[in-house]
Amino acid sequence: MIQAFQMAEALAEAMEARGFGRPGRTFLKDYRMRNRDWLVLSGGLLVLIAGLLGRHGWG
Amino acid sequence: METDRLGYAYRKEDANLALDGVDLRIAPGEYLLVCGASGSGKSTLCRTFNGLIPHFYGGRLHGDVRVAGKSTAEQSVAGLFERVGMVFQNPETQLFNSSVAREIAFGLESLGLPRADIQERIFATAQILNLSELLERNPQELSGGEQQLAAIAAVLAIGPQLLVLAEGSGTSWTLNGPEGSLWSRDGRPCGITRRFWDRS
Repeated sequence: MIQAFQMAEALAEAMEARGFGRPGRTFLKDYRMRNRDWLVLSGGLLVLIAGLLGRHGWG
Repeated sequence: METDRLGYAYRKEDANLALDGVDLRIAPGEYLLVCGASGSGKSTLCRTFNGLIPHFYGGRLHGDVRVAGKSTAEQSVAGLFERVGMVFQNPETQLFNSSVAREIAFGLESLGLPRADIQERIFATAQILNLSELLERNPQELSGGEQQLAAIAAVLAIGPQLLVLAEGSGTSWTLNGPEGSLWSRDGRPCGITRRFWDRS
């Protein structure tokens, strides 16, 4: 337990020492929503709606 | 890099100081080796150089630390990191990304560099330090020496004016390879460090 806190502190220290928290950060990797991401997202939403409708009836 | 009658206690109410009356002048191109018993304050001194003390650790700081004429007390750690690069004692806890390439990218992302520049610097750094084959490896799965090399690469890629190695002997072995040495006899940067300094 104590070790976990010590490791967390060392991690925070190392991240700050490499400029974490400075405004204007850029990112090497580009995470963009693609068609299949939207597809999965809307599919999940449809299943949720269908489940709710099935449970509580159509009214 | 200068310190004036630097004193420090980790806790405000603590009477015994971790550092007491340290006066230092480090000129450009100079190397400083700090020796001392375990617990004598070497790491504490290192942490004052990049502002982790007092900004991250709090406590009670006396005197002044100046980097390029500006007091660290008036700057943030995130503002100082591009000038003062710090390699910590323990290589594992300072590597927190999923690959060595992303480890090197971290500081460059903090600088706000465009994607193409980050990519270019990663490859340039890997070439100079001869670690290209490690770029896609997970830092946690590297050997101790490889981890040290990755930690040094992540800091040198930023192009700092001052390099602080909190674990000097191990890291100097890592860098004393066929590619060049961190240490020089005439007191000027040579080998690996020279190539970084010339670039930045």
